Amino acid sequence: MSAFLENVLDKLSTQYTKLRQDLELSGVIKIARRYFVMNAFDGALTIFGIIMGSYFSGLKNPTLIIGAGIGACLAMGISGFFGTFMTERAERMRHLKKIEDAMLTDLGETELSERRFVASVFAALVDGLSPMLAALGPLTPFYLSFILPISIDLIFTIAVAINMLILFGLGAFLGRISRENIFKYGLLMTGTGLLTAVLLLFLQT
Amino acid sequence: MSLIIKRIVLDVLKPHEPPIQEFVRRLGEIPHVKSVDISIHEIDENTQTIRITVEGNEILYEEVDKKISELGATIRSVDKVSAEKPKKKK
Repeated sequence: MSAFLENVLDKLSTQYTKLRQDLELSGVIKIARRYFVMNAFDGALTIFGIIMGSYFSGLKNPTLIIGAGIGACLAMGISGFFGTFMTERAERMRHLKKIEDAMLTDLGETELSERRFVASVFAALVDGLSPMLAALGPLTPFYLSFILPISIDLIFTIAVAINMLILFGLGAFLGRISRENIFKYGLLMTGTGLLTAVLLLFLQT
Repeated sequence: MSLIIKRIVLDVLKPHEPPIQEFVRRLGEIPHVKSVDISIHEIDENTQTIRITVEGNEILYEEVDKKISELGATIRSVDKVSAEKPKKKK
């Protein structure tokens, strides 16, 4: 039994190393990092818009917010996945064709071609999942309203706090990448959330 | 008794990816290969011309060709082959 487990773990480890190598060689990690922040930011702000828009309109119904939120999550996820997959694939195919022309050979059955597919799927997964995850976080307090006797205003406050935390986290992540002040980046991203809230407030009044 | 190939020198055209340090590692996976040497001779916009020297015991050219093709490269010419009779077991 332990030999079987060791064998499975060994195979998984080999596959993981190969995947990491493929991703590094294809240069997709840098692109995916950019996609992750851009789309998680999109997801967080979209859900923030839904939550604040509902609050300012007086629609304090958790079922409605969850329904609209999940719908937006799904739409962002599907659009992110397919949009990125098709775009990445097209760009990488174009590059492959250029190499094929230069080498006067078909590279369809090579690791080069396989790596391009893996890179496109990876970028698409990051692009599809990041807005969904960023948007699901602020929606969780609304689920709590079904099981815990919490006032709807408190739930809105918790949801906004989670949202701000996500925006701050994304900013801090960018700050770390650029090796600059993570608080400055975090506060800048949080500021965009506050700006959205102020604009929504003006539009509602 | 037939000769066995100990050394092959190849002129190969490859894309920039994978880099030669990865290329050399992958060629090392070929059975019976003991050492691999790669040097870049020319760099173009999309391709590189490299010279590969593969050494080992009883190298199979087909295996080398297969691995190079898998990596997206093509052999342009076989520039040198060294072979010798296998040593008799004492």
